[in-house]
Amino acid sequence: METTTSSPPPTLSLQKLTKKFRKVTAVDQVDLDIFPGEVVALLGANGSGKSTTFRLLLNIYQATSGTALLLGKDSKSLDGKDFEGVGYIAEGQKLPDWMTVGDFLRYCSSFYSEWDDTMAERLLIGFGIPEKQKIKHLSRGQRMKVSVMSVLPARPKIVLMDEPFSGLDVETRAQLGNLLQKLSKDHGLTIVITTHDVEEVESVASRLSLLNRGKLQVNEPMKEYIGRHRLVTFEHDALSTLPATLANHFISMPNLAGDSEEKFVFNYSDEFAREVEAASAKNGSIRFEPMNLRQILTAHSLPLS
Amino acid sequence: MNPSLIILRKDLRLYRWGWICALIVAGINIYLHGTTHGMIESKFTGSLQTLSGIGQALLPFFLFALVTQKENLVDPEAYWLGRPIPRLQILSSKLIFAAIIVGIFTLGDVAVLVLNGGADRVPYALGGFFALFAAWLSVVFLGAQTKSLPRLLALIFLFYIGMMIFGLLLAPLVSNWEIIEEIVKVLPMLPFDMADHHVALIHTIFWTAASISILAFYYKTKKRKTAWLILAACGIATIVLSPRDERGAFSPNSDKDSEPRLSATIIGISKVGTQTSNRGETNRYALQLESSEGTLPENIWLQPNSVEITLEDGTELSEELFPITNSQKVHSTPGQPANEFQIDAFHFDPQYADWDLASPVQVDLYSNIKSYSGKEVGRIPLQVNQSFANSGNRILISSYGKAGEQLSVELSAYLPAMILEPNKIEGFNQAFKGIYSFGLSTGPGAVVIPLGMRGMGFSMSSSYNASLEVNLPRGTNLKECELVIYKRELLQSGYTHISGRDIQFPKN
Repeated sequence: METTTSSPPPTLSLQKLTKKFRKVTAVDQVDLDIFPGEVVALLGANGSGKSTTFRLLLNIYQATSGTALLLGKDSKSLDGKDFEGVGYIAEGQKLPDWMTVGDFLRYCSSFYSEWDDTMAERLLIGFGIPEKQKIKHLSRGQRMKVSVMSVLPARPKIVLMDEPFSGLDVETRAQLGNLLQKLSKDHGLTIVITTHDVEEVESVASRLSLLNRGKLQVNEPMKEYIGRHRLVTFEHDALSTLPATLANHFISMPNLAGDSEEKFVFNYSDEFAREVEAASAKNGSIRFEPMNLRQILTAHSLPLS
Repeated sequence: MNPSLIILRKDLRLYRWGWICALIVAGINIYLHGTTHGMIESKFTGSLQTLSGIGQALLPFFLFALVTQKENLVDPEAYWLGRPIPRLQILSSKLIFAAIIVGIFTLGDVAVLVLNGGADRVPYALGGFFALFAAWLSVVFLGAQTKSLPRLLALIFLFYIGMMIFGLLLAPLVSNWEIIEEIVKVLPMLPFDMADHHVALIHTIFWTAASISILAFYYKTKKRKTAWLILAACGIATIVLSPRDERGAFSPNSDKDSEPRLSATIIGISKVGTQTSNRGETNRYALQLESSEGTLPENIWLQPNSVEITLEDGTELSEELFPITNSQKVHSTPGQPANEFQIDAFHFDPQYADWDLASPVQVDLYSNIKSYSGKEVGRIPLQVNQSFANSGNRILISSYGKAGEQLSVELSAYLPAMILEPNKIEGFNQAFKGIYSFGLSTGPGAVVIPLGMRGMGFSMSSSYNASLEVNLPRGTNLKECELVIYKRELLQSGYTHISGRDIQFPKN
């Protein structure tokens, strides 16, 4: 799998990471390096191994084989202070329901040596969560906001977010997306997000990693990945006039109703476009349109749910 | 602030009901056992007793389980995961929490001792803290590997069922159980005569260290199976750290200077009454003994272990005879020679036996022999609800009554037993464990008449009661009477074998 090469050491590094639960292989020989300042969308269907990967990284689970390094340290030996630079936010995380939001934030703050009170206050106001509200009385979305508020003011170097957008309203999603982008840009925060909301991460993430049945199927900068995909529209019978070497690049979009007329290419480039234009000029034109992430994933039949 | 203290502060706040309940239970204990009012039997004190018993047994169990489960090691969705909270710090917060609750109970016990004039026994009560603490750490271990109370209870239930199934499966596989019994027998390594409190001290130190080490290992590595294996190994180590079973290893009539000596022979058997038990009605028999010295020794007590009768044809009867294991004072009987005494020795039903008991038999008595000093420690007026505190214990006159010339006195007592305390008195068949004996003073300057024991009882806790009786001299004014309390101190302890030949068994 191709990875970005960069001078600083990776914030997160997986090497042949494998986790088996009895006969089920949840994570299968995954190699992945994520560098400081990257915002990575770790996508995949339910059961594809996203959450398990996070839990392996956080020493919640022990890997069957391979290694997972977080901030340069083997995750198997992570404990206590090692997590000062790590933030973990998960959809199903069980917060102490009996505490008020304020109490919980104060409780969390006491574990970190560098806690940004100003940021905590700003988030509290920004997210509109009443400080004196007990966590048990909060909605799912509000709980997620509390999770975020209990992690980001600690100024972590890396944040692992497992379905952070789940249960959030559109406005808050945008708010959170912007915040993450800003933290990444301004403070070099590395962010790994698992989600089903591809639209949300498309604009936020700088890299896309996709797990399918425990295997890392895609790992590429987001712009490049989206940039090399194009939806193709043919006028008249333009496709049939193309030489086979070019025509083979056009793949039918999957359609439950049968073969589709719609085609896409996954290795689009300006040079490729010029070659196609030159070859098809006599028999009608071929138009290339940009694809969004959801369209691309659908085109590749990569399941997300 | 240290993470463990942060978690502890949170737990103390969340479970404030827990330590408040522990304080209430300790307060109830102090009231029940450290005051006269608390000792008086009533519906109120009965309810408090029940509450205290339940509180001491169930409160730590549920509290420690809940506290540990808040930061358990098996829930991948726990809030503390991925935060800078070292697992060992979590463990230490839970241990401190458990220590606080156990400490509250211990301090309650200490307060009772002090109120009852037993300040010198406080170190033993404080030592008992560790025994209790080590015992409750098992709940911390179970709590750390379960997410909720139902799961914890299910784990305990499954463990119990699993052990039963294991036993059932093992039974057909093991052809010779004797081999296993032999292995278990050779495991204990401590001397057979090591005092109970020394064994308890070794076990307490071992289990406190082992429990904390196992928990530390589990919290550090999260290797649950290995932790269970270490626990099993510690269980075996406990057997190793037990006294060897060497019954009969001691020689009867030991020559040790420290043991009390009684040179006597059995000169007769007499039937002294009948006894109804779950075996039906049996006859009680006493042995008449004669000291080889001119008079009987002072303050010697015998506690029969077993009695053997050898018939003329050589048949030995032992298992058929049920020894009366009461500790009995060696004393002469009025009208009998000064060197003769009688001991209630055994009961059995001879009418169901085919033995030839008409011919003379040989009788062997194997008995514990102890010498005590009896020191008067106090007197209280013979009035209902009068109590007396001594050395951490409290005795109360519950009631008394007179029938003819016979006075019966009902006493209740709180006699705390501490696992690490040397247990000098072992008179479990005596009222109040043989710690005390009683007399009645009928007035100023009058001779104290010993009170005999009619019956006794004890509960699961340290509460006891006893019925005493005495024949009153004529003209006794009960209003002037005082209950005299003697504390018995063990001076010497040993074993003795007394036998007699050509003894005629009494006719039924």
